[in-house]
Amino acid sequence: MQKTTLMFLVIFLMRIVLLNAEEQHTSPTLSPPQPSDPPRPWAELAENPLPLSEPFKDYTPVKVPNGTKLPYKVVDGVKVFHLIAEPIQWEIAKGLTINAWAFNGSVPGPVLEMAKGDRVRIYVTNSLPAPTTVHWHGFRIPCGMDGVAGLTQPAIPPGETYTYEFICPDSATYMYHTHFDSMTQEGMGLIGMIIVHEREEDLKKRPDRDYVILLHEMAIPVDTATPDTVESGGFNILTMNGKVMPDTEPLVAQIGDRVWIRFGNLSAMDHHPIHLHGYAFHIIGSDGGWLPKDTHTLPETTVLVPVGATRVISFLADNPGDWIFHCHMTHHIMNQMGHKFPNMIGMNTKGFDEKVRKLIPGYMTMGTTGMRDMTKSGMPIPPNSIPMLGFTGQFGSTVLGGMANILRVRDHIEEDEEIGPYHFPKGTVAWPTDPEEAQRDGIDLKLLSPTAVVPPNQG
Amino acid sequence: MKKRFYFLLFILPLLSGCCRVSLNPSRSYEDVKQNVLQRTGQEIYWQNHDPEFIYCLESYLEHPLTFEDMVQITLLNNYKLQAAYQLLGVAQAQVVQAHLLKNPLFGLSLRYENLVKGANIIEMGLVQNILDILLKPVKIRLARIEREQVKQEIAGLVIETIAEAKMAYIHYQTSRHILDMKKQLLEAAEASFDGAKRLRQAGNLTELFLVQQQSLYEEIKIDVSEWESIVYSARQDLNTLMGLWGCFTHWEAAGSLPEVTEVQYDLDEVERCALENSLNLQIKKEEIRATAARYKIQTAETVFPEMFLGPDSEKEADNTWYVGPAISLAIPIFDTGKARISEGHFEVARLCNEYIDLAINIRASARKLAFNLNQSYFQYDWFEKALIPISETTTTQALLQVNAMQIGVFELLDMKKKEIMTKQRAFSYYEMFWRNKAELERLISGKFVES
Repeated sequence: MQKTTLMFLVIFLMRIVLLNAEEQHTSPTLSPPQPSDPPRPWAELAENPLPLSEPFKDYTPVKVPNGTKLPYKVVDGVKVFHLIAEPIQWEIAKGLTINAWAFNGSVPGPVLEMAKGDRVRIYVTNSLPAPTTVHWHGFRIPCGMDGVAGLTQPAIPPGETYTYEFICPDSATYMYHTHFDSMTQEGMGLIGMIIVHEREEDLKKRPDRDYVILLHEMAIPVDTATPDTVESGGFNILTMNGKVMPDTEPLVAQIGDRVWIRFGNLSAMDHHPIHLHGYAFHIIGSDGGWLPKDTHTLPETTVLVPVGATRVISFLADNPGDWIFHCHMTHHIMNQMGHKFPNMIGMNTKGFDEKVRKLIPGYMTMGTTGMRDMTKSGMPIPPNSIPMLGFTGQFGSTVLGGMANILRVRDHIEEDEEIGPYHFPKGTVAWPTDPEEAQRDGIDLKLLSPTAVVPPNQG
Repeated sequence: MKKRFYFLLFILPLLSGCCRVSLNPSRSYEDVKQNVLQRTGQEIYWQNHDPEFIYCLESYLEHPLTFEDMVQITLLNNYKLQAAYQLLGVAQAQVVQAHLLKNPLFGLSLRYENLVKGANIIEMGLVQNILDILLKPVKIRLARIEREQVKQEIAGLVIETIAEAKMAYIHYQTSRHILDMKKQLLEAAEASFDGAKRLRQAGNLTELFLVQQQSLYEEIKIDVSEWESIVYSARQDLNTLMGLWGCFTHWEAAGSLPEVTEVQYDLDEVERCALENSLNLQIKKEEIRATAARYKIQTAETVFPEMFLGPDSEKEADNTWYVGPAISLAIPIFDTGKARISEGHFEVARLCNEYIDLAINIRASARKLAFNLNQSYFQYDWFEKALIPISETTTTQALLQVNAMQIGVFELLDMKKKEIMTKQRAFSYYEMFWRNKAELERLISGKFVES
């Protein structure tokens, strides 16, 4: 009798242990896959799961200018996130608020941050008026988690929540975005970035400053508020983390910092060559992974970020100052530029404005010497619009906006210090030429060269 | 005794041929004056070149002329009206004439046996056309009917002239405003062309675009010229209506236009008023009566072309006088007047049918004019309330877009041109409203004019 009871007790206890063990591995995408040759990308980590990563211990968290990071819960060894796709109103810059579709209230959505080997469960709630999905751009995960509506899963109907679960098999700089009616929904703002860090305990091997910037474009005609997602060429709002200059939040670095800037590009149609002033950098990563160590790469001052790709640049902050970095497509650094505006360069306006003002009081010709007129005109413009809105620095208007930002490098930065404009050391700013100095150097200060075309009278 | 009898028998009817009716048409004029005043509220003036009227005219012309001024000057000085008033005198004279008998015929024949001595036989006779006496009442009635007709026709002419004056004034004023709009369009087109020239010079536009702008500009010049002619012609029409010429034509029109007030005519009521007040129908009635009377006279004169009666005397060779009555009378053997009667009958029937046709025309015209007037009020009002404000807003919004460097000056000027053209169209509807109003008032006042 005692033996029987003991036997039943052992069996009962073994059953509990075994059941618990089974529960840990009930989700197929979190469980070890069937053995195969070659093995599934996540097979090793599924067999030998790593403990969940911890910020600062396993990686230095990224900073997201103008943005946020998605908080998570830890449940049974899984990082649990919740994304909500919903219509919102989004301020692109002071003066322009648009209707957007966004994750968790911002365009782009919050950055998801994790490390290689982390097991994640992401709930996606659809509060849109249309079905949607989320694609984890660049991840090597089970196909059913890939998020392509109709191909790998049914679309998430409005009002419902779906669950995605997978193990992060690689470290890279990824993106996430809708994959249902992408032209419309990505165009409306359903985009974001995911950072999967390499686990690195040695702080010296981690960057000192790690920034994430997602590039995006919209077509929002002046005096409208909803992106025209059918537009394929007339994009006039080009953003970094959902903002345009002058409202992009500057990046900061201290002399000696190893700086990484991770760019993602989920624009509809345009690649963006991002040029950083004052520095040469190396491209060290993409949404496919990292450049193998000890690989020699060409130093660059401009990184081309193709549509649907990410690029990570790395440089040592050794040159103090306020350094602009911007898309080098010149139309992409203008806010709400009108493409139907006629070419006014060089027009002789003497007497012309008076003629037009007789019929239309308040008219003023602009653009005869470029776009700078707009920045100082003070003329009434349609509400909720920011045409030609530009950044004004300490020396005046830059006539520059759109996809641009500033990297402020200082000799010393206190934690959480608000960094103002750079104090240029005396004698280090280009100055108006002293004629005597020029004469000393044998320079003739004629205004025009022999081949110059005399500009027409500007009135 | 017998001689006295024959004398009286002859003389008395003749006395009735004398007339106590005045030739002065002033009573007829007063009737016309009252009739017009009652129908239109306007006074007419038969000035007969009275210097007082000239003075009155000059005082009007000293200041810019309003709508009401134009109508007053027309009533004062329109020479077609002044000519028409003379017809009252003509009609009055015809009434007087109708009262008068034809003069008697005196016949004398002398026969000589030999020329040395006096006449041996003398025949004398004095006869009167008796038919003339018998037909006199009918002739008087006919003349009176025709006088009434003239009075009503003159009243109708005055009403028609008032309407013409109103329409001519409005046409002149709206033409001036439309000409101003055209000149603004010209300015806008000139600005576009100038802008295109400057940009072409700077190397920024194609030659094609430049000539397109030039083409628009040159076309509008023709428009402006056409409207200058229209304005000039309209002014001359007003001069004609107001009877002005020479130094009197340098008048200025007042700057402001009469306001369009809300109208909503009841079609049934308008139809009833138009029929009741119709001078055309009254004239037609009088025409029927006159025709009937005329045919009575004509029939009598056909059957009895001659009907003379009077004393006749003869002195014979023996100096004996023989006196007695003489009568000359056609005998209705071949022509009993049937054809004339039939002609008269059908003529009257024709006129009666014309009367009915006229009445139907007046009914339809009244309803049509009232309906169109209601509609034209709505149309003009809609321009004021909606279309013009929208066109102005479009220009304002276009300027904001220009300031935002989204569209260029050419699109802006196009919007401005559209605004001007909308205002120009509004003037056309304004004129249509007043034209419809004048035509309806003319009809309700009694004058129907076939369109």
